[in-house]
Amino acid sequence: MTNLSYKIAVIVPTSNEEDVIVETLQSIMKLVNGKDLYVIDDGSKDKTIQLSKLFTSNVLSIPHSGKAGALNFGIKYYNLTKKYDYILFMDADTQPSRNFLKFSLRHFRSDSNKDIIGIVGRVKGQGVNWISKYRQWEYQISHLIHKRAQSYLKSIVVLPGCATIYRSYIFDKFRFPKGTLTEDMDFTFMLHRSGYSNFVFEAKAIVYTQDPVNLKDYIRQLLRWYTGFWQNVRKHEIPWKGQMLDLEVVILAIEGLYNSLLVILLVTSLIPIVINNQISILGIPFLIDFFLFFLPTLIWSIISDRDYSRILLAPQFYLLRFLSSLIFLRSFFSGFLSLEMAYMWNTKRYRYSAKEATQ
Amino acid sequence: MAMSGPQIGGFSLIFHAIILIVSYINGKILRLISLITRFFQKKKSPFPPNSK
Repeated sequence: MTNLSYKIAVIVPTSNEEDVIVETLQSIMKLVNGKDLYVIDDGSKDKTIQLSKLFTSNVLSIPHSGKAGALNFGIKYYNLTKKYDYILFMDADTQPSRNFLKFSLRHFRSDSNKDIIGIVGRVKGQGVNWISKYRQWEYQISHLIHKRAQSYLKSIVVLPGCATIYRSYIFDKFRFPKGTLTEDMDFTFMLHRSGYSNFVFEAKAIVYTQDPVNLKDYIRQLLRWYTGFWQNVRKHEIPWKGQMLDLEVVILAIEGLYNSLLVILLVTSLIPIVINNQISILGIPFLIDFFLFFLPTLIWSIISDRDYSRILLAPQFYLLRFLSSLIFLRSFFSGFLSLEMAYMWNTKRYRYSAKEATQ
Repeated sequence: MAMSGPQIGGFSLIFHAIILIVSYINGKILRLISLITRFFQKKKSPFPPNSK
């Protein structure tokens, strides 16, 4: 366990997590004492509570109220803003690396004016099958390039619920909002809108998370993420407030819609190829996307992770990218154009070992 | 959401890569300026080494 000279609480919100909670709490106990670990259970019906009590006495079970409600209740119940300098949120399916606190808290220590509100760690997948290997590629681009640049521009779009440390006083002023499917993004947008934009991304502070391993769960997760994204765009009136956040989100939204159109263009361009045996001009954007974006970034991720098996998965990955694009378009209609606000925060957990997390 | 946003693609990649390159060059320039400033401050020190 790290020798700490500062007070940090770790909160793990849970909801039927018996398959993953033991490994997660074991990895957290390498960072903090059991007395600083808080498990807030949102109405689990399995053994989550009993298993959590093996690690800490701070286990609170509340009636089902959603993730945001559970976190707000736990912070208030344990009076964490008064007891601690920092609060780290960790999802039940996510395990921090041993040096997570060492690399992330150094930013707070060197920030004498207390301008930095939160530190965001790097999320890595575990690559147990082709779907989660695809997600590894996405995480690599999205964190090492996008999030790093967003950190520089002070326009980080989402402080992930699974890898963010906040200064605790923030929760004297704000609570996790309800009403959208991505409460972490909702909270991030709310902080930006309230003038708190100084978050720092630290690539060396790594957490290992579970990702969907079958198409059904993958589609379900993306529907939740993307619909939540559009709900937040609408809720926080993007792009009308003139912050860097607005520019960032507009770029990402247009990119996503463009990708969706690309899929439609590709399908359309296949028709003349089949009928006349001629390459259609409509296929050009697809060729640019494939050869100038997808393939180079995939090769970079393969070399970086030394997982050469991924090159054989390139066709599947690109089809999954198509699928994601279509889900993004579908979410645009459900999340942005309609008032649909269904609430579901439970994601499928898998009983597989996180080998990388123990390294 | 564990990603940095929704979909990723070429446009946002280029945009963010430019930001990173600019921030890198900016950091190097600032470091160079601070080194030069420190160098000249040392030269103009009002306290000569043998002032005692």
